[in-house]
Amino acid sequence: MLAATSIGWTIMSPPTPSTAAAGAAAVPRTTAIWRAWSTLGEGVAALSNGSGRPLARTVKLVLDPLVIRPVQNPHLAGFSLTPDAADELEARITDAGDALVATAEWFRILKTARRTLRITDGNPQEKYFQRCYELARTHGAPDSATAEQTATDAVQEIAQTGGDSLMARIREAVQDSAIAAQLHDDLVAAWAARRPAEGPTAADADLVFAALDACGTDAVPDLDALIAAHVGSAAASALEEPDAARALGLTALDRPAMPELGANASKRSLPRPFDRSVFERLFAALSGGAPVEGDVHADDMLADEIVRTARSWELAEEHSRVLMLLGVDAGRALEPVDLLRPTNAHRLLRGRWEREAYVRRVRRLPADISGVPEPIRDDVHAVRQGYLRRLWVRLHGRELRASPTRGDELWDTLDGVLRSVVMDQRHRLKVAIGRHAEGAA
Amino acid sequence: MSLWITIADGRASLARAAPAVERAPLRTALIEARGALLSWDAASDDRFPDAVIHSPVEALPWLAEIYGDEIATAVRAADERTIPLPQDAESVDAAHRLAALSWASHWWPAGVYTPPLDGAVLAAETAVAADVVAHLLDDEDAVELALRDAVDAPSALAAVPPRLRDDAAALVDALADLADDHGIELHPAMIARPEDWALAAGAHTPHGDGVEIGHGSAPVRWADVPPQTVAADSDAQWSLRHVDGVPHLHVSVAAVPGATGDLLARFGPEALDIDVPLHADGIAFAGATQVAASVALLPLDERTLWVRDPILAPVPGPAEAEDARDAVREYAVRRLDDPSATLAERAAGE
Repeated sequence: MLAATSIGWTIMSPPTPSTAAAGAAAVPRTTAIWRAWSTLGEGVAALSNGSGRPLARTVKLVLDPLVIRPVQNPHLAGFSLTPDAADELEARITDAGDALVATAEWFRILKTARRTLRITDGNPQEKYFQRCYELARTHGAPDSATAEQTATDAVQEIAQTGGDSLMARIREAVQDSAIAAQLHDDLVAAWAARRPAEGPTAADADLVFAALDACGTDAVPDLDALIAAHVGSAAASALEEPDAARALGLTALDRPAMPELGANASKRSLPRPFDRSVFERLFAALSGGAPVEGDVHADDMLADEIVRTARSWELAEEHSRVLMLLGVDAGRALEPVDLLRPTNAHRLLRGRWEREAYVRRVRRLPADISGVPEPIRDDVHAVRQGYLRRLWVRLHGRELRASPTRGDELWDTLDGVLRSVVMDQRHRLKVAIGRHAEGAA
Repeated sequence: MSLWITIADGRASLARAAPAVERAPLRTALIEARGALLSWDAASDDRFPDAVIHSPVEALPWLAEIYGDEIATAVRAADERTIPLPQDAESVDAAHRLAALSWASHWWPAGVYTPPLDGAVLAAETAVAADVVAHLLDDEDAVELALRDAVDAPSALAAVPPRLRDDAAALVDALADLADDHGIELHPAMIARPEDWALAAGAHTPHGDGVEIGHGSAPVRWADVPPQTVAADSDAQWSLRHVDGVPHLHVSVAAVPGATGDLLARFGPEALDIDVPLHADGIAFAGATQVAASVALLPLDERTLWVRDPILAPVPGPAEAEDARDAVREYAVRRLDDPSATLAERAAGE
């Protein structure tokens, strides 16, 4: 975090209540969070950006799941809150003030321990924020007599239970021929037991429309209604039709087939989601070292993943399947076709996509003069498929980390996946500039 | 429904339709914010940005920080009104600073008379500036992305002139803190390297063997080439020469010192299919190719030259208006010794 340097870091005055109160009574949730945060002072600088606002990771990893807890307190979710809910949310943050200040202190000490242990992989905020809050809750502020040892233990444990070391144990398991044979039998049995889901009903379409139309508005999309109606599983029945899953970019095959168990993987050449081996699926989600919740065993991960491959959408949880269904519908906005009943999500996604100059160029100009290299051109034309692949990967990762998407996170997820597709393509274009002048002409 | 904010004469006008006049890209400084795009005239000192707000709900939490409460409230109500700008707004200067850095990394008119900027220093300043307004940026990874481009900044910052050393040291500290938070390893500063900016590019005329049978020049559209490659104050030159009776076309354009990469130059109408690959040789982007004898007979108005990176420029078009280019070049020269300019700009001015 920025220290007090001449570059300047000042705590800014909290947003004034008049912003929200002038018109309607509703308060943007973010405003309430910032307002409460600004009362915590410089003690939380390590969890704040250069303006003294909480970092996105502070909100995602600490404030939301551990302090505000919108799953248990649904009235504290959403883009905007009633004044009473805003007061309650602010009280939850200020009540946790001491713990948050201690969290910031623990973060500094864990970073020092990390340097001492010469650990360099991963993002420390991502890896340590939650643990620091736990330490703050159990130990309070760091005690100079014991803090260093506690921090060293925590950093070492996180390194050992992180995705990379879990992946190493999974690799060992699948390379053991006896274990691999058993896992293969389990896989065959899971696929033999697959049952087709019932098809969607007409009422489902209205629920989908309502959820997507609530995106990017003050309203919270009602994911629970979609989950209760099992619309995600129902929609998966269509994937068994020839070419259906391929059309969505989820497989290169006619229809989804039982995956291999697999024993190796490379980040650069991962097949489409449904064509990935069990090992590749876990590898894609765990490599990179993001921590996994709790005490997870390699054997359980493999067993769960095998079962998951045989379920609807090859995902285990209904909320993930609902999001896939919503993504399939919203993703139509990325194709250059007229939409019959565009929702707010469709309009916003289309807006984001069509603002990109290279996208407009690929669509309007003949391939040979668009200037956009062929692989990126292909990805622009097949953006809906790429979008759904990335969404599937994200949802799969959330299942592994037991962090389901809340209704008020739906839009952030649908929009965030497209942002990540765009950022990736922009980066590839930037890298290509100046390098392929002859080839691209 | 999108909303537009246009700033003029100390007032902000809200509208539900896009303004008729768009600013030239080369003098536009941009920020992609949550739910909105903010844009400043890069060549002016205007403090408040124009905006197009794609998603008011997402923009609302931070709008008052840029425009003050009254305008934010009008956006919330989608009121098409004209409202005086506030005296102050807490994040507008920080946002402007980030936009200016982004403009400099895309459009800085390095050339014979304007020194280039150090990319790593720009990235370091961008990381620090992005951190200040991270809460209103569309890309949650903006700080981390900039940090990845800034890993070589410590060396460049160790080489700044004495006058700027305090600022450079403060930037190194801030950068190191950010890098530490994000788990990004900076490359330690190497012994100060001799800067070769004194060897500014000179006008470079293509030459070669044989007898010249024609020559000419053409401006290069800035948007058609990557930033800090072609000297922004030089035209591209071509020369048609007979070598042993065979016509050869030579093309050259002055390069910004340190520029690398390849460009393409098309000569004449597209149907002739004459595209000359240009390679950077430290002084110029230059290349030559053998052409058909008929090329020598092209009428004058078809002796066109179009230098570009094909990824940036699929179709030929006129170069940017000279007055816009002049404004940007003059602005850049002022920035070199403006104490409020970025460190990259001030360091280049030494």
